[in-house]
Amino acid sequence: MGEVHVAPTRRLKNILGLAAILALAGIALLPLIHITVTVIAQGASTIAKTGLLEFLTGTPHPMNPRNPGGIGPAIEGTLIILALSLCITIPIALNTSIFIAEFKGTPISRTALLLSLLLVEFPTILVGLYIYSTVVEPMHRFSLLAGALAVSIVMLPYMVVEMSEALKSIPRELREAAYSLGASRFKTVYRILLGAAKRGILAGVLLGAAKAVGETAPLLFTLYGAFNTYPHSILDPGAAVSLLIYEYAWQPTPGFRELAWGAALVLMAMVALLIAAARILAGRRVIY
Amino acid sequence: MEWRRMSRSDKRFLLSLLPFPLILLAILLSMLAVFVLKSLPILEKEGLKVFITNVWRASETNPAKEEYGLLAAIWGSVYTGAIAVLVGALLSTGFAITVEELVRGKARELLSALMDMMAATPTIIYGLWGVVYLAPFLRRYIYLPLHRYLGWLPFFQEYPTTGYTIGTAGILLGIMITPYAAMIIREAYASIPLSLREAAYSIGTTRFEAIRLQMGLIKPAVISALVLGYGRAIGETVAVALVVGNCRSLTLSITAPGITVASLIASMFKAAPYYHYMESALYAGGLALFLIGLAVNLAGLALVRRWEEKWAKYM
Amino acid sequence: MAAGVIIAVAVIAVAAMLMPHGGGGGGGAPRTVILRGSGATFPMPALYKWIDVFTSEHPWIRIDYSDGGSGKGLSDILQHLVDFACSDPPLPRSIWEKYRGELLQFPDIAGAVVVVYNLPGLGNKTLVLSGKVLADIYLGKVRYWDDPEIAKLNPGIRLPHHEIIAVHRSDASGTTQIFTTFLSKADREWAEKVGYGKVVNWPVDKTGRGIGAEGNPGVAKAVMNTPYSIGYVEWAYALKNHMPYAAILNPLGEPVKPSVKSILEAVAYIKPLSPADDWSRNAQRAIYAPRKGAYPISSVSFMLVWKKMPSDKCKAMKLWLRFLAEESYKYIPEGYAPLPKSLREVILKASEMLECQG
Repeated sequence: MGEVHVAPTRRLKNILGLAAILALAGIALLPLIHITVTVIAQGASTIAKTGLLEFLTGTPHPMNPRNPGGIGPAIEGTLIILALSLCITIPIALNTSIFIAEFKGTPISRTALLLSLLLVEFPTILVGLYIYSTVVEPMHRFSLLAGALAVSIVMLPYMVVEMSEALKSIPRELREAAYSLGASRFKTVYRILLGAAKRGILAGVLLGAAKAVGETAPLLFTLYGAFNTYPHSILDPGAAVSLLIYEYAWQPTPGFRELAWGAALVLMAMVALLIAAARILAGRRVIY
Repeated sequence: MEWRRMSRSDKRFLLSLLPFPLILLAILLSMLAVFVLKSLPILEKEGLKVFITNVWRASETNPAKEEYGLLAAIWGSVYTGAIAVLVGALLSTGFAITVEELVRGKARELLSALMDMMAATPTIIYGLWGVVYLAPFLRRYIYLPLHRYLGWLPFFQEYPTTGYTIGTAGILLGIMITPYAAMIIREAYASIPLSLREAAYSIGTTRFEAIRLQMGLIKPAVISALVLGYGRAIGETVAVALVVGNCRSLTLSITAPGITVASLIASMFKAAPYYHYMESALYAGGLALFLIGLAVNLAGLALVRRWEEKWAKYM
Repeated sequence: MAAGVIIAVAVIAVAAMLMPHGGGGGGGAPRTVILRGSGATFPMPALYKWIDVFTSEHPWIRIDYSDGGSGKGLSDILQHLVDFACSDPPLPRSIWEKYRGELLQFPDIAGAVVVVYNLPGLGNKTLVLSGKVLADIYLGKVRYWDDPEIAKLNPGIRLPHHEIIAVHRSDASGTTQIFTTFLSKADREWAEKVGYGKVVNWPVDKTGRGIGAEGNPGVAKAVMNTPYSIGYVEWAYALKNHMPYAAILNPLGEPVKPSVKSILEAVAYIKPLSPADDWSRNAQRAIYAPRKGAYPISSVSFMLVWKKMPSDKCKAMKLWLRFLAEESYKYIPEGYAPLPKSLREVILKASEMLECQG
């Protein structure tokens, strides 16, 4: 490279330019580092106050200055919503992405992919309003089911995009080999192709799960926020860890905010686990 | 694959799978229908005025007195999104270039893993951090000096009474869209053909000049990344609702509190069914957000597509 | 592959179900009953305290409360989304008429809205303000701190020649309703030009000296961060943030600071009506009450329940109301005041009026 012969002004420009780029990259990373450190520090201090087991399973007592209690109902709500929304979305996402990959190039396949890409970017609060008017109002109740439906709509397109990527990346030879052995289309897809793409598909599921755990806006008008009580059924009002952070972040009594920080740590740990697993499974950087 | 050339079993297979992609379509269309239907009462009462005025008069006893205008919220969404794109553009290009060009090996792995973690961090955690740390920090070290020395500019005119302002929301959103935009830019950067890359260096350019040349090549990708980032920013709710100040002000000043459509819905909707028209007004806001978001994202996706097609020729 | 996913989902579901469920549970204990409420933010700290005590006495009852404002509480209970609602003001007359005899409403706790300020150089001295001055500030008519109107009330305090920044709530809130009701009662011009409500159009905003902030914490923060500003928040928030607050002139011309005693004095002016009655006018009697030693921006917060309830919930609700009537006054957080006995009896009455069905 010709850097030895460049004029001093150009060299100066070079150094300044590179320094600016590095500085911007540093600024980009700073918030993340600060967020991670504070969530861990603040969250750990809350959990230490309460004790891990009680924090994960107890109910909140924000008015008790010595021990603010736990976020058990919120954690349970998040897990139930996660399980429900996975049950709802996995079959739909899987079959939609099979359609997109198998009939690649057809107008329907392209439209389906476009729709998923559009829905990925869709404002999630609107999904909350939509479920409020189509589920909560007619049923006359906030419920875990309503929350799970809202979350499902949010995570579905993510899973479709991720899974169809995985299915498309299967080498054509594999498919042709299957056909040449006389396998039917159905069998080829469900036995052989899904098997070959299973890591990518599972990564898609995990990414969707990470989305489900972290979402707040779709839950604002669907769940109610039952932070004190464990639900009897999925038709009961529920809570979620993300919602708890949102509702408690503004409260004046310090106990509420302590609980919010502890909840933030739990939430971050859940998401980090899911993303790390997805990364390992997919063996590549994952789109989020 | 054409319908006529498919075998019968293929056709059956296609038809059996068809309901699934249709679910996506049904979701989108029924959402649109719900938002249109729910907006009708306020549109009938006020017409398009609901989008171009800035009032929020609720009356629990006399619906005729109610009057709602979403202008400040729509403006806030558009404006915070613009700030976010500005911030995101700087941070994401800086980061993408650093990772692709300036570091190697383990450091590169680490940086990209950190950025992925950042992309995955739930927005509510950004919000909590924004409330507790970012807003007071920006007020003290950025807004107060800017207001003192550049207060004659409309952007810093308003005294920053709190850190909860349009600027804070925009900056927080900028931080949040950075990982996503950086990912698109990195992909584009990595896909520059080796021949072009070598050509950039071979003519005796400095490293910075080579980077600028290459950034010029992938400019369309950068733009599409920012358009998509803009779409994300205007749709974000909880993080914004926590830091934007939730005040219906129509202002250019980034040091003033503002409101966005999403945060207006988040803060008002819970109480809205109690009034006659407020709910409908909020759905109208949702409809506006729906259509703006759709247009922005379609534009962004079209840009990505066009760019990918153009690039395909080289690869 | 599919099997793996199913196992994963199953594991999550089982983990969720295995979480220890508080209360009830084993053998012959009665089935857990959950009561859910929503509404005003104001009584939340007290409610959390009461819920702690009450549910430890009755482990088979669990109570949840979701705050989101008085408007949300009323909206939720009218749609039968919750079992009880809390609202700072009672039902407006028009809505009460619509549900006459079906909805019960009664006070549950008393409190005060205080006027906080950030006046550098004031030291430990307490500012005295009147409803008229406050109305003029929020009307945009009184512009500087050293305005004669303010100076007249505060002889001996050197007031700065500085513009007053008036902070108010930007969201729909019961606090705003109480504060603007006070202004309407104390100042005719305010009553005519602005009136009262959960959301009003603040004239001071048009002068550029008004600031909207969200929630009590938002207003408190804005006032703390803005020199020469003034605002109104619930008493508890002022105490929590160690903010100075003004003594306010009551109709007898006495400057009164909020205290449990001065709030009780004002609240005692509310008549103990039946839970089925219209409280909308009566509740306002505490505001600007012409009683000696009464703090003029005092108020009670209300709770609402449907008169007819399904039997299991109804039994739990009766106990809960009985607790509120007989014991809640022993557990009052700082910044609130207990109800006088006359009003606590209204809660007892409500508990007796509940009709259990099925």
